[in-house]
Amino acid sequence: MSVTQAPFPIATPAAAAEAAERGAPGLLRRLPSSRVAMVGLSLVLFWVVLALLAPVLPLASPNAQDYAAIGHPGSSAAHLLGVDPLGRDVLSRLIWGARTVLAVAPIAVVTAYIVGCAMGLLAGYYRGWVDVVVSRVSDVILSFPVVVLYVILIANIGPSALNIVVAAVLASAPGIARIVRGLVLSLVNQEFVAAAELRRESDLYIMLVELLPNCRGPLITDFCLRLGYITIAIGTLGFLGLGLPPPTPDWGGMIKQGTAMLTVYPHMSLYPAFAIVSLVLGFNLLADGLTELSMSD
Amino acid sequence: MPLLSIQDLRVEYRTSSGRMVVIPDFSLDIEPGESVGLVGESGCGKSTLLMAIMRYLGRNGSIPQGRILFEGRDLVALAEPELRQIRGSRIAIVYQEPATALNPSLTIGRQLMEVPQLHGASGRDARAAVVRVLADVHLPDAASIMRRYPHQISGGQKQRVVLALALLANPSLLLLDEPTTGLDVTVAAAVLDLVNELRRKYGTALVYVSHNLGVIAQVCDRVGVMYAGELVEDAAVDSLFTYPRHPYTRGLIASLPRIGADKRSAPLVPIPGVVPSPAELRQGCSFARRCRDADTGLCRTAAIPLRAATDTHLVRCNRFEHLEPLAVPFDVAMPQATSSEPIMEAHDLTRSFRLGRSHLLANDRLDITAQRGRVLAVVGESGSGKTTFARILTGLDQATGGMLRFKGKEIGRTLVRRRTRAQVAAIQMVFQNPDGTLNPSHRVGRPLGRALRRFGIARGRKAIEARVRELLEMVRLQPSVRHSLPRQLSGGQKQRIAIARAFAGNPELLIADEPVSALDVSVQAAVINLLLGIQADSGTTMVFISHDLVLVRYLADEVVVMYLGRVMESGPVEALFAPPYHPYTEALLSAVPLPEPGSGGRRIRLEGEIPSPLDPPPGCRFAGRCPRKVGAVCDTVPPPAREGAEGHLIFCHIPIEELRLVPAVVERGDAELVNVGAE
Repeated sequence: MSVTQAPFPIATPAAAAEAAERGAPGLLRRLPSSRVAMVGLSLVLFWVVLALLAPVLPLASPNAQDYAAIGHPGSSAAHLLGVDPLGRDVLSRLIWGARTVLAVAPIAVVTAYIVGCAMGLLAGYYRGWVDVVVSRVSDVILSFPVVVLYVILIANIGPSALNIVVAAVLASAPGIARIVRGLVLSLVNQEFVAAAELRRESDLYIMLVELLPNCRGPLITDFCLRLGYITIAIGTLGFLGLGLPPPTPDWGGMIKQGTAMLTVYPHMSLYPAFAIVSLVLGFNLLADGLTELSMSD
Repeated sequence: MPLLSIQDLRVEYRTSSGRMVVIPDFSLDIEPGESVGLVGESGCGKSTLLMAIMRYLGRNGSIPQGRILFEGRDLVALAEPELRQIRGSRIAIVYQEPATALNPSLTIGRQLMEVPQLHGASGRDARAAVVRVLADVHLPDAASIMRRYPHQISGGQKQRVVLALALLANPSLLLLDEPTTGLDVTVAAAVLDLVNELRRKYGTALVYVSHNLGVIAQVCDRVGVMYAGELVEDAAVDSLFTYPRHPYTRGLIASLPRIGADKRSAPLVPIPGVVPSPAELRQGCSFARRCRDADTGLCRTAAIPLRAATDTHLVRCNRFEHLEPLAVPFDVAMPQATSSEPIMEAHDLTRSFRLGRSHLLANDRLDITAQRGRVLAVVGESGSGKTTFARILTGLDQATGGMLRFKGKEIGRTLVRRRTRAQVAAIQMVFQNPDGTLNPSHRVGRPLGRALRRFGIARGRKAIEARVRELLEMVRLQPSVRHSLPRQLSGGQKQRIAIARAFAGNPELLIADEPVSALDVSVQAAVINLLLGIQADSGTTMVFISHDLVLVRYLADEVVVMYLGRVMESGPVEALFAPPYHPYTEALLSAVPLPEPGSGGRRIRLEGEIPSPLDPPPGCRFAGRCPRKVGAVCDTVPPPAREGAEGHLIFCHIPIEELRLVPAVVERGDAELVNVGAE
């Protein structure tokens, strides 16, 4: 028996009600009790709210060029965070850029999750040759450095929001599959799965209804972390010129455009860099907080 | 002066839902060399008490009151460096799970030698000390054991190593927390013998925590019964088992099946209710709510003092002189099923697994028949192939040879997916582990409703809902329980749900795979009574898989004893528990720790452990450990079937006349219920 836990194995009404709050679904409900998670959530929500309000905020158009400001690109009353080398408002591009990231990243991660969970469930539940195929394919993909993988893919299929999603799915699904497979392997020999088989439930029912819901604890944390990774990846692709096609505001692309004047006007690159850092930090802190909450059970 | 004197000890835990008083006020003295047992259900604070003595309460535990005087020093007041001096050298502890007590990445020798070296011995002296202690725990080939890593030795050997580890510093107090739980019966019996022997040799005082009254009766001089963190009875071991005085102790003893007793002559009497949570307010006697003899005025107001019934017998009960003899709570009279129509017949049933170039014969040419409406018990230690047999029956696995007929139809090679709906509904199973049997993400009503729908028992939401309620009533649970999540239920409640689920499709054959082995004795009795009641009412045939011979004696009509995938002996239950015995059955019977002090009886201790089932020898599977091995014939020739009484088969080379000469291992237990109060 663990020393640090008080041994109360028998449920009483009070204890039961409390126990019901625990576990994976309760994880999100108990979020407010983790300070780390709340800091992370605030950072993420900060950008979400700005992105949602972008059309109604009193901002210059992100693509409008103010030729007069190009000579003095620093902060001014008209451009709070200055302008970029083409005279476009940095603040406006940051906020509109948040819309791109916050649309593309979740779509990419959710799609990757659908593919990854399917792979992991099939491999873990059927084992045998299905497992061999899924695991080997995953191993091959995971053996590439992620950035190299993205660059190769996007360079070949061309930069667009859809292609970023496709690349993200290819790069992330194997990792997700590996987590799900491990969780399924630990669950599949439990007796409730045998009990379901003794009701002649279909394989699909067992995988989706009996197995998948019990994987959600670790997956919620992983989901947040992956949002962070994808945010970095989108930034990297933008920086390498493989992001969204111009003139779409894109944080990675903004950093790149600013590098030419980095020594004179660092703000052009620093503000978008801070934006990426804060959003990724937000996702990571959220993931840390969720892990901490699930450990404190 | 006592070696250990616990005075007015209070132990609390801080949790998210407030302060939990796990032990409110506890006092106990232990003399040097004395062996004290602590019994009680889980959640009564036994392990917490040991942890408090070791001062290992964890960050959220505290001792706000009381003293723990050990050799005159108060452990509660000592600082960490001084405690470290005492732990391991003066007080040692052995935990339940030997596997986790050893570091998997260090050799056994290295871990053992650490102890004397830590106390300043040179390498050579340390080695000598380790070799000596290993010999004491009957691990004679010390050099070879010391070179190995924990995963290279068996569970029984690990527990011996852990005992050696505890004894190395020659402690004056040894704390044992369920050291034999989880070991096989024959292995556990050998470990118990060892504990007794070492205690005499080293003169160590013991605190032995166990939920198994039989084990306590074999090892201890004195027994403390704990309930809800309190000591409710404290008596010399003979006195406790002959005249248990506290209603809780009497309940514990009455909920145990007694060897020789069966369900028709001496039904089990469970203790109703559960141990109160430490978060609940206490008023009066903490057992009053579950006590049949509680008196509202006397028992529910003031705290109850520990009173002396005799010089050596203390009891915390106001009414111990006036207790009624225990009565059977409801009529569990079991009709004797008389039919002898076989519903399931296995003939030469074989399941082999290929492991590289070796073959593992999990089931080897089994001949087993279950009669309709009766209870067939399959007995054996781990690795005997009981569960494989159950899996083939249910269709979760398939046989590789032989035949298996259910109601005349061959099903041995038909996996559950290829069976008809009726066949699947007809053979259902209750699993061993209450924590794995229900999906943690689903409300517990869900599998019941699902089973009803899948088997076409009920259609439409209303009808299913109504039938779910009936099923829950049948297992004596509140209908509202169906909305709970499994983690909100106790182990016994979870097993009740599992029973309801198995009966949802009106099965004809129910397989119960050690359904109560993970439950407390008091709960065991209730679940067993429930299972037997439903089985008898519905006329369902039951295959009951167990390693617990006493329980099998209690509930079975026929018994099959298995060892390493082979049937050793089979027959009617009465025939099996009387001579002639198969030598393995005889050893199993003599290994059962009986809750009757001094009832050692004849002891047959098996050497070694269950061998590997890979590539077995052609002769008798048991030959390697058999104390009555005839000779080379046992290794080379499969044993013939010897017929004892009618239908009683013993597979052994020893002639039946010679087997008959063996005296009974256990006397037929008297069928009376616990007789208390009258002296």
